[in-house]
Amino acid sequence: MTLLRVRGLRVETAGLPVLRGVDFEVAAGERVGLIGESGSGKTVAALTLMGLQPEGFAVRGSVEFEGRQLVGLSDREFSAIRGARMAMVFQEPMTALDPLMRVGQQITDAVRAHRRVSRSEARSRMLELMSRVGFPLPEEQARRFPHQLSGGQRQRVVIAIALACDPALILADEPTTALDVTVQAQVLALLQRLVAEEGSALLLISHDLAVVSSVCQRVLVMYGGTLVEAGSTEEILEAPRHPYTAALLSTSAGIGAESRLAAGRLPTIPGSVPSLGGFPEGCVFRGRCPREQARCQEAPPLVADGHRFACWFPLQPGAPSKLGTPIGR
Amino acid sequence: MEAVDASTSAASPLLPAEDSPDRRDLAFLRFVARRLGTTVLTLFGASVLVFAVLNILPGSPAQVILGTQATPASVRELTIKLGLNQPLPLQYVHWIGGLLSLHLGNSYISGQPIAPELGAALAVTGPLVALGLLFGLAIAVPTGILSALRHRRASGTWLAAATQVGIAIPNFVLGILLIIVVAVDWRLLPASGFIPWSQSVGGALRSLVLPAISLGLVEGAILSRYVRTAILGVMRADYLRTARAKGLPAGRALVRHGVRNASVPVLTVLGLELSGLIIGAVVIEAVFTLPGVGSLLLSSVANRDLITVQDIVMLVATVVVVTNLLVDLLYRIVDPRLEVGG
Repeated sequence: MTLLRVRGLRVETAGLPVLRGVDFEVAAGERVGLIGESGSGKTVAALTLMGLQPEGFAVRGSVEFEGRQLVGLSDREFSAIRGARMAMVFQEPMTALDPLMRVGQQITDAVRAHRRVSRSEARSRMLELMSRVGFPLPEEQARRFPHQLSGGQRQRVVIAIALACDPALILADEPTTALDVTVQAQVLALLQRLVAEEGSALLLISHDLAVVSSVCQRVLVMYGGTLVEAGSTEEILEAPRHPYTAALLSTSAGIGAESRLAAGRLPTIPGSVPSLGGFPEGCVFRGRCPREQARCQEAPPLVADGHRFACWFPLQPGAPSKLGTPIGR
Repeated sequence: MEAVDASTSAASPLLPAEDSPDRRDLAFLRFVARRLGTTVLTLFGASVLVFAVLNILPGSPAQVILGTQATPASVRELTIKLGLNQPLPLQYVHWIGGLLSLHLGNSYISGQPIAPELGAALAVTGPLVALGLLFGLAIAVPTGILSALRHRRASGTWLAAATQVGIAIPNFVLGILLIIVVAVDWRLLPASGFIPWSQSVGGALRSLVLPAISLGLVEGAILSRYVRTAILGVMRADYLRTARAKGLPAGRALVRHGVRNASVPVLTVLGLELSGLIIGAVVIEAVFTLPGVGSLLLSSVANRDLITVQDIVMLVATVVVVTNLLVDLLYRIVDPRLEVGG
């Protein structure tokens, strides 16, 4: 059953496109990863789904969630959905919590935002949530202020807030990027376990392929405000068709044991992500792509169902990528 | 020390920190005690400075009191009578001892005790400053919030520009304008003078309205800028986005998280502005010929009534220092991040 259906989602600010028509679906209970470099539009996409895009961002297209059109809803109408049916885990646990409010209260607020429950009921729900996200002494730890918790603990509080009203979809925007590597794994495992227990769907946004591939069943690859490739995690990892996906893969695969690069060399994608107005006409990856030809001046459509990719000259499945170029070569 | 405790315990995975509520309360008491100590020291320093500066000034008060026609013998006699021949440290101890037991001494000029006169002046200046502060807040909070909410629209920009104009108007100019328009042209409120509280509370309040507006408007305009900045900061904060992601509508999220968070920077400025209000009161009292502390200070300076000047300056210093103490304590209550022990 399709929970979320995004069609032709365009977001513009000051006449510059941030998202250029994005299409994807998330089924109920499905775990989907959204990956791409910084500036590819991942965070804007998530915020737009929540109706929390920054001021001055114009949204067009269609976002259907649980059969309801979200584009064009008023703030008040959207508020009834946010936190209740669709919740978000943010990137920066350091700043995502109010520094002057006890963390327990911040979770209780989330419960009471949608549920008409008494103070004591909200409180017992809050304590239950805190112990579920891994606080052994919720009674006491609920009285702490954010600065008295570690980064990992704060992110657990943010996750508890997201879970407060059993949402059908959780958007997690780089939930582990700001954390220590050891804590990252714990928080990721927690998120995955809770989503499974609740039966919620998860849209996990990350620049880190390893993170996404360990959690998600399906992967969307975003570049320059467009989806360039979408498929099952296996398809994307084993047989990427879009040159950008292949390049992204080689940057993280190159660090592994089978790396053919000289020591001290990290694989990179040549060039850099253009600024907002600086993307080329036609295929957005044009200019950084080694397979570019004249036809790429025309934007390629995202073809086929199942494994989809937007490229005129896709890689053949199984062909080794020649894209990762070491720095300094 | 507490800061170190808190951070190490927070780093240990998911275990309760050492700083239990009891320990925090104890640390807070210790902080209050230490802060009181520094307040007393500051006041001591201020008193020495005030005393020293006023006694370094040339000219003998006895000579001033008796006039140019006085004989040296009578001047010497009065000097001894006033205790001005004693060594300065002894004079200082005598003065400060009097202040501590609330004996402010007698005026050099009238020979009358200073305390009742200063008390009467305080009954004018105290309410004037308080009303000025209230008026300033009544202007600053709504305009600050409104110009923050509308910062992308023309109305917000106009509001911000208006406060800029408010800051640029000196309070005495505003006072004179108000006298001309409200008091002289419209005859709504008295232009000058003061009806004592004992005679008519309403009359006393009426005589304070225009001075309080002149005093409060400028401070309110300055404060409005800080309120605007503070609210904008909250509006852009990640935690506000978290609150909206919980499903709180924008307005409710701002009230829930904005009041406390915005009050931290506003509180600081408010503490500083109180000194500005007291200084402004001296000028405004002159414009509206109010018999307040400012007028008393000016006449005492003109008369070389050193002991009265000393007392008034010390009083003002005490008010400022104590205000700073209160602001500091309020801070610790509002913002738990300020480690009370550190």
